[in-house]
Amino acid sequence: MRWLFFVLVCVVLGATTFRSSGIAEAPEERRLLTRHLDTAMSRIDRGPRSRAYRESLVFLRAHAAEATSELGGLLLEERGGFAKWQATYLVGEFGDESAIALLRLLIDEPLPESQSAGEGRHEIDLAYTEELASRVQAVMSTARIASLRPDLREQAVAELVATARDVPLVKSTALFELRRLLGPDFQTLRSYFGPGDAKHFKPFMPPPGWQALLLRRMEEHRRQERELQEARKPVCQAE
Amino acid sequence: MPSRVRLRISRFRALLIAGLIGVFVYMFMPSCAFLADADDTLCHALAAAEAGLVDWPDDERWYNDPGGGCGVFDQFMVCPWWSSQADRDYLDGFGIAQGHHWGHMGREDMTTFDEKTLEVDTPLARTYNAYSNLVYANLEGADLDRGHSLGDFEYYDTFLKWSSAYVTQKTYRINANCSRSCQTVESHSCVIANTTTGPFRNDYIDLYQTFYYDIDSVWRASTIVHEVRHARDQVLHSGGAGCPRKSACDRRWSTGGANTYEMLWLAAYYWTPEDHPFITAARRARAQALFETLRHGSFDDPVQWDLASLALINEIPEFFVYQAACSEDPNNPHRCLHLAN
Repeated sequence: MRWLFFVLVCVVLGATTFRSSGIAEAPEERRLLTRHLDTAMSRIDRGPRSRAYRESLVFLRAHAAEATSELGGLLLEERGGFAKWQATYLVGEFGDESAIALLRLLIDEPLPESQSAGEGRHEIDLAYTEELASRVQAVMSTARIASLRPDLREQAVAELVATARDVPLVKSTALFELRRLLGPDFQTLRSYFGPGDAKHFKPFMPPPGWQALLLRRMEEHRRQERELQEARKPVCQAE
Repeated sequence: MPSRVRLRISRFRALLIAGLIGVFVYMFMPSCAFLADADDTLCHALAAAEAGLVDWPDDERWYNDPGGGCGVFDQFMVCPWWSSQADRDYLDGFGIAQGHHWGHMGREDMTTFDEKTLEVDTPLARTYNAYSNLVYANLEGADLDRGHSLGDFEYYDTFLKWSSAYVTQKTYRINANCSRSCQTVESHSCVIANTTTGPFRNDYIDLYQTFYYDIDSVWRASTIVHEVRHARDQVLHSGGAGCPRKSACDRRWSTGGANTYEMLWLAAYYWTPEDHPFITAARRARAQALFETLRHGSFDDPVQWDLASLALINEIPEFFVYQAACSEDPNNPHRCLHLAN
């Protein structure tokens, strides 16, 4: 009789676990979100050239907060990998204010210690490299949100300035992105930074002896690019 | 039996048991010599091929995210070599044609792809994709004549053109290697590629499993530029493990080492027109991120140069090549000034 009771308890517990796993009753909205995230992730290379990517991005932009929250675990808890960089890139394409906050959390996460071999074998710690790449991408994605969402531009710029001041690891990326984003207005940020950062505010120019060659090449390249790009379009622009 | 003899026997037994436990543990350790190819899934896949059909590894082993993978830059519709034998011959001209083991690594089925992800899955195809980034980043693509002198900057008038010729001329052989050269089975610390060089010999570069399946094609391409700097130029790493990449560190940027060359190429790839027919926004972003990982992770001394300071690399490549190569020109130390850390 005792074994019958044991089997009964197992059956009841098993059934309860199966029901609470939610596999059978995932809400349609969430399934849609996951599908669009997967589609966008797998088509980031083709990007806007892919219709499926464009459609998924429209959905993700309309559900930015939910999509950001869905990727939060991957960005903050998973070990560095290409997918983490990929998701960080994607957040910049659809993100809202919650995405800016999430990206800042990622930037502030301490980097793990590199496990590369000390001597002899030239091993690269791939996870460490991807962790670093994701943090750099988080800065780039914050700037991307600023360029895609004029209503969030001020918030994103303030975040980038704070990042450049507080996080030495990504300072040059943050300043580079600010320069791209703000154009000539970038110079107005000079007062936020010390004399050690002056080089970031001076555009690099080659020595005078190279200027004539530079001008000639720029003209030549503009002409060549026009000609060659027209000829190559059909080869490279599938879907 | 005297008690001393009994004691010796029990010590012997204890040692025997400890030895057996040691052997038992060793047998189940990763990379154990008794378990042939325990950590080589690509070698296993090749060994297990039936009727010439290989079940190529479809994902990187240490990524646990089903939604993503570094193969997204390997989707076949953006590979111009896919449809052109002439382009494949051009890619083989980088040293693959002279290389060993490519026959097993997808020569017969290079255009197979994963039907779900649309990613090409053979090592050869993924190597072609790496070289594609070198070739199609410059708009002349496979029409570029790589035989001109590397000093001819009227012909190689962008860094991307120059680097394509540099990679061709400065290495002899690219070998395929199915081994996974990592610290342990599940380790993410791995050798991507290895270059053997020296006086009076033909240099060669071995590409390991990590090259094909653990890193994306942009990283693969920059790795090739890196390795080629080790090859015929014989510039080895000069750092003293004083950076996160440890034995792959260079002392400083101005030594013009493999890491400097890799960064120069990534910068040139980044500084291409935004409507480039081959370089997509995601690839450009990836190049920028990889550039920064090298800048922070591969030099003992901090690098002062950043992406902004390399903005003209595709306009006046000779300026950057001469600066980066300053360590090869001890008679003209002033050339090094611009790159000094």
